[in-house]
Formats: sequence, structure tokens, C-alpha cells
Amino acid sequence: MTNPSKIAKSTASLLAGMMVVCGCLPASNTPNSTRSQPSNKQAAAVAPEFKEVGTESGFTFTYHNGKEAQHNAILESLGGGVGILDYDRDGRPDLFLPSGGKFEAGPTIVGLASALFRQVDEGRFVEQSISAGVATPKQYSHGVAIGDFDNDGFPDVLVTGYGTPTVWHNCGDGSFQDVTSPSGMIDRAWSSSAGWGDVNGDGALDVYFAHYADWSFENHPRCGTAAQPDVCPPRRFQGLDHALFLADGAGSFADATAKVGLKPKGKGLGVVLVDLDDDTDLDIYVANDTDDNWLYINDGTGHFDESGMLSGTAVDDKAQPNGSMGVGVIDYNADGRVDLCVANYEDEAFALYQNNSGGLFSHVSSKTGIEAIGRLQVGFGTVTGDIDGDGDEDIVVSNGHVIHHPINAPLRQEPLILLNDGRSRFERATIPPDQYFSRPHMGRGLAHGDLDGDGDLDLVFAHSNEPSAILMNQREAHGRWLVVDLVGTVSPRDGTGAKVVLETSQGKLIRHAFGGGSYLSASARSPHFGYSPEMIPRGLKVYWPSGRVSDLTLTAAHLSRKRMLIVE
Amino acid sequence: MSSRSSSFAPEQVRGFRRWAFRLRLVVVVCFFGLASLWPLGTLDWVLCRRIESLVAARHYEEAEPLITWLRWSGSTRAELSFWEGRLLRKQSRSEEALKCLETARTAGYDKERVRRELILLHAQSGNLSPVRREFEAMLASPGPDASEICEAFVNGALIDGQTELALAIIPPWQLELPADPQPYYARGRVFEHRFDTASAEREYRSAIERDRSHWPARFALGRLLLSQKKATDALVQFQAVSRMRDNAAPRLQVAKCLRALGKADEARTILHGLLKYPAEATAKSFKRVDEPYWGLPVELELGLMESSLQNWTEALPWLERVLEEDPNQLEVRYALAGTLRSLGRLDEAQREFAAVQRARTAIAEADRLVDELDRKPGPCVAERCRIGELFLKNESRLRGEFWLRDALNHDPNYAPAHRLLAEHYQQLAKRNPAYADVAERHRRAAADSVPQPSTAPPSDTERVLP
Repeated sequence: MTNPSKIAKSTASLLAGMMVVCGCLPASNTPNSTRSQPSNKQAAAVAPEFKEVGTESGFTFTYHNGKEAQHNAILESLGGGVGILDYDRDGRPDLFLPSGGKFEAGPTIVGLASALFRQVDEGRFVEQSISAGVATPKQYSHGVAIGDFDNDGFPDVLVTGYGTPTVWHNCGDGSFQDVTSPSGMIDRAWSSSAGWGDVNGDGALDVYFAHYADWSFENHPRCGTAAQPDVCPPRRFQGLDHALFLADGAGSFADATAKVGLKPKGKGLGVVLVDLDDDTDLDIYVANDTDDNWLYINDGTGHFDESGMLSGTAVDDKAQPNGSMGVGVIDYNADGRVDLCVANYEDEAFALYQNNSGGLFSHVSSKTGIEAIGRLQVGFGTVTGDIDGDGDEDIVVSNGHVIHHPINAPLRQEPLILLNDGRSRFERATIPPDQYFSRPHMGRGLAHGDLDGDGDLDLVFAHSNEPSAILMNQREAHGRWLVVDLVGTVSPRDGTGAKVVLETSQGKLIRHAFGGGSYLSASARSPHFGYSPEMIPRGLKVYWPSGRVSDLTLTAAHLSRKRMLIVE
Repeated sequence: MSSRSSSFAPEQVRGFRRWAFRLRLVVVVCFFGLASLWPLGTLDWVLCRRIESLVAARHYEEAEPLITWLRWSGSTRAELSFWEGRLLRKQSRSEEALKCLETARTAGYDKERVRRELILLHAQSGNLSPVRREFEAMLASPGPDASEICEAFVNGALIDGQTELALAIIPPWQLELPADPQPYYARGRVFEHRFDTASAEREYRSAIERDRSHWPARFALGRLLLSQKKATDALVQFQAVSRMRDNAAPRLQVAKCLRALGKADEARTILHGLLKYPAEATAKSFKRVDEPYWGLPVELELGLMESSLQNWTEALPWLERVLEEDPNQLEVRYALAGTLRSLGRLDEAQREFAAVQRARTAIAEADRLVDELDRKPGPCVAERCRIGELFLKNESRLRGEFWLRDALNHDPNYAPAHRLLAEHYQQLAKRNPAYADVAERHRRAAADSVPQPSTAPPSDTERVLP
């Protein structure tokens, strides 16, 4: 499916306005230690500031879950996500959103067509679902995963949901083609989140499907009371076996679930593929709802050893499995190791698992002040990044309840920003009234990326039965920014699995181009750095999944552009 | 010469002297007046009224010295024994209360009132069945003890898990005594028991509005807020409760709040101070705020705090000591496993993780049984007992106790539940003798009940923690 003319076209568009650095260096099997010194910055003095993009932007979209049929099906509770991708390679990120579904007589489950919004100008969108060919209703949909599975330079789209997922191949001409059947990615279980990543080191993106529960209308117990029927809790259902499909690099996939060492039965909602033990291969972390979370350590060949309990990432600090939904990758204490943050259900703290190296983690939600935000949130979408431009990574979580009649927590909930004070503690950002973050929502999916090209991180929230929202970050003047676009040659073309190290006068900042993450959503792939005026960037290193290392000395010219391209 | 002396006129100085003389005269007259009342027992009577009102208002710390002083002064008044018995009853010191009430009866105090007090003693310990009829009769003619009757039976109903009964008693109690904080507090406990924390918080605040020094309400509100991770708000409540005399329980909570607020050093100082508290005073403090006291709560907090701060070497001895005392605490064992792992003692860590995993399998079985209860017909007493047993032996005493009591709520004569509760309280009594009588009561009940088949077939999920 690779089209050389498309690649040439895409590369040309990328070159425009960007600094191209060909940094092919001899492969190194053991990357240099990336341990950095934590900086002692002060907490940001200025609160985050986002501007919600209105309907005049051309972006109007609502995810529907079929609630109006009053089946109170647990299917309704998952909601939908959002994917950020530059599908036409014009340098402006676009948006792909699964639409959910509805229930018709029978009852039967009917999917709604997904939506594709092209950003035609800064902050201005035009829906292209029909012209792009994605307007055909498929399964009752939830999630979206973006990955260039055929390495043709154009991001492809995978949509999850109740029933076989849909694989949309990006044709490179502004249209997509449903290649589910020819790709062999036939997975009939109820899938929530999915994540791309090259788990066996062959340079092609494989995919992990988190599956949820054994609900169907044949297994649909009545819950709540006669006066107030409600959605059943997940404990009333069995979890499902998850799936992993290996790619051949030519656009075909084979179900390798039985061969790679996956655990049976889990109510998966979130998944992330990232190198957690710093050995260059991709490990997998799965957030399960009311079951233990799983940590799959890759042995380098694509075979996994599940070590959630022993690693300290399976449960909370009370040895209890949480209702885990969203999952984020962060280096909260700037020690160079990948930590994990997990959004959980009401009455459970959001979990921050600190990576102590050697595949061992500690639950540090209390120590870092995350528990102090209270326990009423039902957290879903979870993204991490430097929101306020002070050089450390913050956390943003989208919240909203799943049952119709919660006792203690509100149904619609305020999303939250947890600001890192640079000394390994988080505090909830105070937002003025009447802004998006101070209003309650039925939050679900969440993704981030520099949508308007000003360097800072913007946010896209997906809600259930409520219009989705784009929030443009207004902090561009307060911070300094660097977005690193990656093009793999031996590694996957979209750079998934790469680790990027920004060396500054005050230590190293480390970001990963990971697969999956958040909840049902796909953020912009390119690693994003914010840094304070005191931090002078000196060099940039990219550790590719192939083992190669790209090394670049940064100059003022590099930094003035805020965005750069590194080719393996 | 000081300038002050020159600022008063001679008339003013004479005026001060006259007032000082009058004051001294009043003191002397009062002293001799009181002394003259002593032989007639009038002073005893006056102080007994004071004790009565203090006990009714739950100001036990103020009532106790008066009783001690009257005893020291040689008072043999039968009424005094009665009020002391009531005070002890309200402090759940059952054996001592019983003795005082017996003394009051033999000394000639109103036998009917003593009999009623003994019924309240039974009722508030959760032993409601034998005294249910008496309760209805007492409510029909409560006399001056309406509040006491309601409080004892509501407390008993709560202990026994009969929340509906408790909720039925509370409205008339509130109507009768609208200024009494206790019914609001009691209803808060019921809501908390039902996980309706918003309503519980509202009730606790209502109780505190009526009496700012209602320590149990303030403590419960603080605990609720802390469980919601509102540590700053919780700290305010616990600091207020710390004004009570035996304040180990609220001080421990203050330490927890400080830890949650990232002030580990301050928390550590408090905790090390609490280790020096006499065990008796600590137990009394917990009882004063209606908080169960078992195991080694201070050591537990120290272990968990040091472990969460990754002070592995410091955490280890505390965690080991807590588990030695009570091996069934899953959270502590998990913290121990993580601590051993981080100290590089991987074999030991593996063993602990394996134990945690087995315990969690047992808990998953308990959770499955809980889910099945809704779908099964009948009271499912055996299942409730089994759930209690699994939680008791694998996760937490509190949760296990709840389900065992729930089983007895559906069948008060279910011997296996009595037997498990007897073992549970016997274990607790090793450190806190207050549990001995309730352990004995369940042991007797188990022996008296018709033998029951085992709650469930033996399985490998039974008591899996070492």
C-alpha cells in the first residue's frame, strides 16, 4: 500500500517551514543513561489559561450513546474519544471523532458514522467526513487510535467499539478506505482503547486492543431500583480476553494473542505502549476497570511477562484494584524514568506510579498531593505535558459519572488540571468561573497537541451526549516550546516508541512518542517540550526503537522555530 | 513612690477596700453555708444534679472529677452510684457500670430506674432482641430519660446493623429534644454506614451546630472529610477534638491529615509522641469518639507513612510489628511486600506478594458472593457469614465484622457467625479488655445455638494470610 509519490509529497510539506536534521548515527544497543537532575523551579505564578473555540470555528460534534432508549446498558457508559492527526500533511492537525451509536427496536445496536474535521486555517475547521469517505456508519464506536501502520507517511485510523473495529487506511489524497477485512484485523470482542506500537522490533506497528466486558442484550441484568433503574456496575460482568495483532509491514495483521503471553479476562479501558524499563523495546500498561491493572514487560522479542503485582502497578496503595480508565505517561520528577498516572473511579484516588527503575514502581498519589484533590471525580481522559510552560509535566483529566443516579458525586463533573510545582508535588489549578474547566461536563475522551501551531499544548475534550470542546492554550507568551516531529526509517515511520531527550542548562527533559494513552483517544504523536526562560536547551537526542540514536546540538535558530523534524 | 499610687484618690482606695472586705465576707459565708449543708447531704444532692446534667450533655470529662471528689469526700449516696453507673454505661464500660448499678440498687436507689438502666446497658451493646419489648414499654412512659432511651437503643441498633430500626427511633427523638445533637450524629452514622457521605456530612454538621464540643460528631465529620481527601478541612475538626482530655484518637488523625498535606515531619513528631501514651488512655480516647480501637493504630500509621515516603528501612519494623499483632491486614501486608522488594529482599517480598495475591483471591470470592446476594432469594445467612469470614481473615476486621453482624441481623441464632465474632473479639481483647465481655457473649451464643453446618465447604481461599 506504500505509495512513493505520497511519501515525497508528504516529506515536501513537512520540510516547508521546518528545520530538517538528518541524524542517522550508528546504532547503539545500549542507549546512554538519560538520568537527569531534577530542577528546583518554582511553581508557575500564572494559572493556565484556555480559550474555548466556539461554533464559529466550524467544529461542532456530539458523541451519542443511545441513552434515550432507556436500556441503561453498560455499553452507554464508556462514551467516546478523539484523535488528533494531520491526515492531509498540511502541517495543521485535524480531528477524528467516533460518534457512538443508538439502540433500535429488537433491541439492536446501531453504530453512527464517525466524523473527520480538517483544520483549514488556524483554529478553523471544516467537516470532511463525507469527502474523506468515513461517513459510513460502522460499529457502535468508542475509541480511536492513530498510527501509520503501512509506513507510507500518512496516519491511518483505527476505530474501536462494540463489534469488529474499523481500520481506515489513509489513501494520502484526503480520503480513507475501510481495509478492515483485507488487513485481517478481525476482532469481534467489545474493544475500548487501542494502542499502536512495534512490539517485536520489525519496524511495523502492531496493535493492542483493550477489551471490556461480556455485556450483551442476552446478558443485561436490571440494576438500580424500580423507581430509579440504572446502569449496572462493571462487577456484574466478566472481563474479556484482550488481543494483540502483529503487523507484517505490508498492511496485514495476524492475531498473536495466544502467543505473546497475555493474561486472560480483564475489563480493559486504557492502554499505553511505552518503554517502561529503559531497554528500548515497548512495554504495555493496561488500565482495567475493577480488575488489576496489567504491566507487560517485553522481553525484546514481542513476548510479554505480566508483572503488575510485583511491579507495584496492579493495585492502589491499599492493595485494592481500582476502577481504572485513563492512563498517562509522565516523568513527573524529571528523573528520566517513565512514570504512570491512572484516572480512577469515584472514591479512589487518581494513581501516580513512580518508576523506581528495574521495573519497580511506587504508588505516590499521597506523597505528591494528588490525593488532596478529593475523591469525587470519575476520571477518564488523562493527558500529560507541560501545560504552563515551566518545564515540568502537568496532568489534565476529564471527568464525568457513569451511572445516572450517583449518591455522592455529581453526574456531570469539572475536568481538572494538576499543575506540577517542579518539586514533585501537584496542585489543582484554580480556574476563574464560567470557563470550561469550572463548568461540569460528561467528560470522556481527551487528547492534546499543538493545534494552532503556537507551540503550546491545546486540548480536545469528547463528552457523552454533549458537544465536544476544543480549548486553545493561551500560554504561548509565558513559556518556551519545542515540538519534535519524528520520521523513522528503520523504526516505524511515525516514530512511535522513540524517546526524545532535551538537554538543558538545568538538566534533561525526557518525552516519549508512545502508543495509546489517555482514554479512547489519540494525542498528537510528536513529543512536546515546554521550558522556562532559565532553562537553556543545548542538545537533543532521539533514541529510536531500532537502537539508533540521533544527536543534535541546538542553536538559537533551532529554538526560534518551536518545531523541528528529526529523521532517523 | 510610684506614679500609680498617686493616680487614685483616698476615697477610691477606701472604696476598693470596702469591696474587698465584702467579697471576703461572701466567700466566708458561702464556705460556712456549704459546710453546714454537708452533713445534711445537700451538697451531695447539688453535685449529683450537676453530674446528671453533665452526663446527659455527654461532658464526661467534667462529670468524672465531681464523682471522684464526692467519693473522696465519703459520700455514700445511692444516687451517686446510679449516676456513676450511667456515666460508665455511656462510656461503654459495661462491667463497671453493672457493678455501680448493683451498688445503687442495694443502697436503696429507685429499683425501677436501675432496672431500666440495666435494660439500656443491654440495648446499647447491640443485644437488642431480649429487651425489644421493654424498649417499647419504656418509650411509652419515658419519664425523664427519653433521650437516654433513644440514644441507647439507636446505638444498639447501629452496633447490631439494624439501621432501619435506628432510623425509625430518631425522628421522635428529634421532636422530643430538638436541641440535642445526638440524634443528628446517630443519623449521620447511619448514612455513613450506607455510603451516603453527603447526607452523613450534613447530619454531623447539624450535630455540631447544636453542640460545638460534641466530640464524636466532630471526629466523624473529620474522618469523613479525610476519607474524601479534604485534609485541610478534616484537620480543623481533629484539632478541635484534640481539646478533649484523652486525645490520642484525634491526635492520630491530625497526624494523618498532616501527612496528607505533605507535612510528614510534623506528622512523625506527633506519632512518636503518641507511642508514649498509656494504652488505657489511648483506648479511652478512641471510645470517647465512638471509634473502634484495635491493633496498633499508631505503629500502623508510622509504617504506612514511612513506606509511602519510601523510607523503606524506617517503615519495615513498624509494618512487621503491626502484622505480628494482626496478620489479617491486607494493606499493611502489601506495604510490607513493597518495602521488602525495595530493600532488595526479593524472596521475602515474593512470599508476601503471593500472600497478598491469595488474600485478594479470597476477597474476590467475597465480592462475588456480595453481588449474588441481590439475585438470591431468602436471607442468605450462610452466605453473609461466609462473606464476613472471608473479609475478616483476608482484608479487614471492620468489614468482616460488618458482614458477620449482618448475618446475625438476619438470624440472631446463627452459631457460625457468633463463633467467628467470639474469636474476633477475643483477639481484640488481648490488647483492649473492653472487648472481652462481647467476646464472651458471642461465645455463649454460639454454644447455646443449635449447631449449624459449616458456612461453606472448606476451600483454599480460607484464611490465606499467614
